[in-house]
Amino acid sequence: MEPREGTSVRQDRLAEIGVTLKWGFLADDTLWVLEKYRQTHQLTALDRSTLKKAFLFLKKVVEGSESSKAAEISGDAVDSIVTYNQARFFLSLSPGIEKSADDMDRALNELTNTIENLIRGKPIENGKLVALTNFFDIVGRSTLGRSTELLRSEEMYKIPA
Amino acid sequence: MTDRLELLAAKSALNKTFELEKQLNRLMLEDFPSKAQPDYLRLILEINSHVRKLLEKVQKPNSDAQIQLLRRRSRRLGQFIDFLHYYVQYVHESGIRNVHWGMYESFRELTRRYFPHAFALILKPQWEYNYSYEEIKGRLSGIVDSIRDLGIRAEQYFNVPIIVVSFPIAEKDHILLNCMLAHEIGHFINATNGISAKISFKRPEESKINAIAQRFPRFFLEPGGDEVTLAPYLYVSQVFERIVTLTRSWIRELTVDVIALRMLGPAYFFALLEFLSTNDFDRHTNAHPAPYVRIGFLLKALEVERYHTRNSDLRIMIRDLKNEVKRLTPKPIATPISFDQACFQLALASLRKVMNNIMKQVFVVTRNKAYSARRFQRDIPDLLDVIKGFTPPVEVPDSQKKSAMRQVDTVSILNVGWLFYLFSSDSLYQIFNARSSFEKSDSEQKLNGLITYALELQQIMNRVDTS
Repeated sequence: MEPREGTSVRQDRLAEIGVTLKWGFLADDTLWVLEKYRQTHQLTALDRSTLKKAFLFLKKVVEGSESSKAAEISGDAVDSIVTYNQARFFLSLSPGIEKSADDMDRALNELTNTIENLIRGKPIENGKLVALTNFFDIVGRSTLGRSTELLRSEEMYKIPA
Repeated sequence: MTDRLELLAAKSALNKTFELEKQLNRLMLEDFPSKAQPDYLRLILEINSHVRKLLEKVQKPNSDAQIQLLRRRSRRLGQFIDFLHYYVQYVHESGIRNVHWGMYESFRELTRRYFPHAFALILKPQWEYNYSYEEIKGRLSGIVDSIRDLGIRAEQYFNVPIIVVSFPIAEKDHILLNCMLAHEIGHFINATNGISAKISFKRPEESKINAIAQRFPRFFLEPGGDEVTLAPYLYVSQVFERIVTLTRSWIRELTVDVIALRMLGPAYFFALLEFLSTNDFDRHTNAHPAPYVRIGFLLKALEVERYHTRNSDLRIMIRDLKNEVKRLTPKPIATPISFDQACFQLALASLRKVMNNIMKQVFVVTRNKAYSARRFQRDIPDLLDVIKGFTPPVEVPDSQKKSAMRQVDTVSILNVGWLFYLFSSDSLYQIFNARSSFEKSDSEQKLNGLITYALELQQIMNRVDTS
């Protein structure tokens, strides 16, 4: 959609699209690597670097889980708390996940371990690979849905004064 | 069919890159107040060309899953180009026809006092009646670095921060109100020094969070947009997230208010007061605590800075406003009637406990850089004499050297403009023989023109001195 004369783009919407694109590309690329691994059981250096980014994303989620329980919260920690909550929401939509809070935390830790083992070249059970794929698939789909909605919506513009 | 759709998405995204390139090349020919804009356009051009290369080498998929993924990725790359397109609009709006050179240069110089490294500042008008800030380097580089195979690393291209600050287009010529730009630049100073990020606040009480979650259950939406019912703890964590994000935002806003006050002295306070005057005094928003909280906090900061000690107009104004804030401060509500009200109340309680710390941290970071009450008291009385003759207030007699003139600081020019407007408006109206409200408003516009001219003159004088 072309920017219209006499209107301004809403910066908060752009900020949100920026985040959805960032996590979305990460999810797409991780899924691409996981699919390739499923077929060939091999990873290139570029694949490992992609998985490393996914690992850092999951690590931020785990950090958020710890920050959520702390007595004092710093401004720095709030982003990881938000990421943690979003990841739990995505996970709750993935098939085959138990719904209790502890199970959810365990599942997130499990995903982090799986991806770490993949980077280290350790063998991975098929079930764990499927869980990881399901998680990043829902992240990829959700972010694409949200960015499409925002980019095509009238909400992107401020109403002229 | 799926295969063709995947290629169609890539082709459509590819075409967008050609269109964006044309747009960028057209914009390169326009006049801008600084080289930040052409540099920024070249940067977008570079990213655009790498995205194109990526789209040109879309691989042949060898499984159904890969077909789906390629299509999704092509769509997302197309969206990234759309996203860049929006950012190009910023540059389009920041041309010389929309931004006064003197205002641009003065705020760039002020920013440099607090951030003595390279940066690109883009000032632009917007249609929303608001001021806003955005740092683009972090946002674009985060996306660029997350795209596999793009062939560039963000650090190659994003070596300086790119600050975009917007002001209401209706106030393009209102330099005094545009002292609000200091608040937006303050966001940059805050971010680069990590001031508010380091301020910790107490976790809200669990029982209060649970009570809100029970009273006001919220809805979650699935990616497709359908409502889903989730486990109760997810509702509790949503309330917790809302309160901590609110508290974080409000701490950041108060931090930035004090930075702006340190940067511009009372001129920022006056601008904020005028800007907020049409708002509900006791209405919080997701981004900002209510005006009574912000005004009350800045009144305290003004007193700490001792701006009022030798200016009776300012002293009386501060005293009256303090009483007003006290009168308008709402009492806490025993049973909030909405989800927002309940969250605001808990966030405000957390904010109140860290307000002294916010002021302390800002004072530490801005020490030796801030405008001071001493300079205000030294420059303003002489400058008031100058401006009463409707002469640009850029120089005052130098008390150290007989018959010599001394240039004053940009901030003193803005402050004398505000003091003249607020406390000597009768003299202003007399100069222009203004009687009707239209004539009075017109003479106020002329005052804004005079101050803008003074800023330009000062920038020219600085350049002559330097050369």
